[in-house]
Amino acid sequence: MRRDINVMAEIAFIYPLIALWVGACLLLLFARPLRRSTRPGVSAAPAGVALLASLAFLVRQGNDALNVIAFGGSIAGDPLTASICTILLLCGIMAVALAPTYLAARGYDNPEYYVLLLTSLSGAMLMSMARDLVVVFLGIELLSFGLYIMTGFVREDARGGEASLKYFLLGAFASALMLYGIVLVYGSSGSTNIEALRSAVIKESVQSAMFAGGLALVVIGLAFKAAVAPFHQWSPDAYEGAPLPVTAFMSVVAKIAAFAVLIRLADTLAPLYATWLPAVRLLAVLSMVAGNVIAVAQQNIKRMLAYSGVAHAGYLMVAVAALGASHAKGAALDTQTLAMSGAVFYLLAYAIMTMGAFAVLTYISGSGAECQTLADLKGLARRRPATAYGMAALMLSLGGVPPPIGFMGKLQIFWAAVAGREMALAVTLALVSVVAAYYYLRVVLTMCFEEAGAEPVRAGAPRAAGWVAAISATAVLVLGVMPGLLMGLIGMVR
Amino acid sequence: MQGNSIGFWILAALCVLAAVQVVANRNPVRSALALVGVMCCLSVFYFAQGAEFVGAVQLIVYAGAIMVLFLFVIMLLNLGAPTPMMDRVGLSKPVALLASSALLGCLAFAGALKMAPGRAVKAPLPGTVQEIGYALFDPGRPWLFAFELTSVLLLVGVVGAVVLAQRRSD
Repeated sequence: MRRDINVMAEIAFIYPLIALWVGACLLLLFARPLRRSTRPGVSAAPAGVALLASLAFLVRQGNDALNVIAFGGSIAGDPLTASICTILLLCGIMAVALAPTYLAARGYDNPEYYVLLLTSLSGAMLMSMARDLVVVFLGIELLSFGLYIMTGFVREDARGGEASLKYFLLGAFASALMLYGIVLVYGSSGSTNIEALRSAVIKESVQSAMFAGGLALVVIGLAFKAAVAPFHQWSPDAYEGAPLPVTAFMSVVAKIAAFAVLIRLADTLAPLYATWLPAVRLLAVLSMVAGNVIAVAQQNIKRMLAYSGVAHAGYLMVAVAALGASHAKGAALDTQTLAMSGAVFYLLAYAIMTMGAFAVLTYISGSGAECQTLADLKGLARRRPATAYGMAALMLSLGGVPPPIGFMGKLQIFWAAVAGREMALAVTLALVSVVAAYYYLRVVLTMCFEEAGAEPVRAGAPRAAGWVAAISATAVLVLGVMPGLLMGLIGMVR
Repeated sequence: MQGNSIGFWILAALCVLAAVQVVANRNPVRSALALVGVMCCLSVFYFAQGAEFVGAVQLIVYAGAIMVLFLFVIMLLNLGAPTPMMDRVGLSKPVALLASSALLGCLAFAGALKMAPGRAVKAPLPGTVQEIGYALFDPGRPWLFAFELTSVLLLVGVVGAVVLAQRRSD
């Protein structure tokens, strides 16, 4: 009997996931009537309800979910998991709000879109819960399958199809590498459980090249998902070809989920720092430099945001390196906390500002063609002052210009790097931030000071996307000035 | 030992050769057949490792899966012969209803009786179905959850294939 109760408690831990899956199944079950209905947002509403239910379960679990180990140790809850899952669900809600009008204008506001979105999000949440590499892999696949298909969801759009195929082929290749890595790790250590790997590492029973190689392949698979250079090749094409709401969802959710695992690996397998710390440093520098430098040359905002996403992944890698370094150099527990909470803070900041920027683009695109290039934004401040100021706040935030939240996020990672005595990384971070400020400010200047062509305000501006944009722009400003408001969420980490 | 490793290397070479053919051959049917060859080699590996059940399943499932792959290609290319046939079979709906309610009944019955999977009473023979079953369905071990997760993954795969294959609704 006691065993039954135990199983129920373990199942209660995954209620947030079950809410998403049940929502997806109900959407599939009622797909036909939903398809026939012409009312906008009729499929998005149930998906939103599922996301809110999931969030409610997560909030209701509260502290109970902070030290659960479920299903034979394959998943577990801790503060990192809880905060990442909360951020992911908020992103999911924003992504659902962006979709209906955009897709309806193209004749694709189908329930299947939301099914894929919900399952994809559940995969991302699973990655943050996973304590076993097999579950990490399944989470990645669950996340990616949805993304591949959503990228090509508007089938008349040839670029969408091309992006989808490229993303799928490269993604499958990265998944295969990762799976091979997991096999090597298992072959050399006899386990795929991350905690078990940690104790094997501490006992020094697995310092073999096979283990290190396996771990490297696992990190490559995650770096691919997070678009860390040099594994970022897919991201500009996928971002550009995908429908705007999908680009928003993919850029944020995949990165957060992959970094949740990377942070966990860096934290748990810290005793192995000597093996992987140089590699993490290299990835961080490559991403920061390549992302920011190539972004300068972009005229297409989606591509610019893709390369800036690579750069942001680089900043996050600095936090991961700082986390490892603080273990390595035997720094105080404070330093580790600083690195970890800095990374989570930055993930949240990145989520809000990126979602907001894509929401602005969705909003001003209306029911017409996508606004993608800098030229589309010319004179926006005159046509739509409020929207332009919102976009300006988001761009400043992404560029790390004070006062919005992006600056606070970068500052935290900078501090973490200094505290972890990763001076080279800290200096690189500061230097590339200047480059980043340049190309984000260019967007602001284009909106404010360049004369528009004869382009009128587009019809059918989606109201929900406008709200998402407005809320994110307000959030980056308010939270930038008062980051203490977030500490309730972030302070839970550790 | 020596014979074993010679066998392994011969088979491994065959396997890699077939795998290269899967990618390199220009004829899609030939590459699919080469894939069958890869699967057969893999299953021999499993047999050699003493995992008879996995080896047999590898053969059966992948032969089946390959057939599904062929069907998917036909479906995606819209060669579309099966559609009129599907419409004529009026029985499919009641049969589907009956089958799904029977499954629901079984599950409800199992749930009512709390037929939860238990632990192995005695150690099953290695490599047998029993051992795999206990490993896979024991709630105390990590594989049950991963196993159930794959069902969500398969569902997404099916939904995705339908989404990509269907025509625009309006």
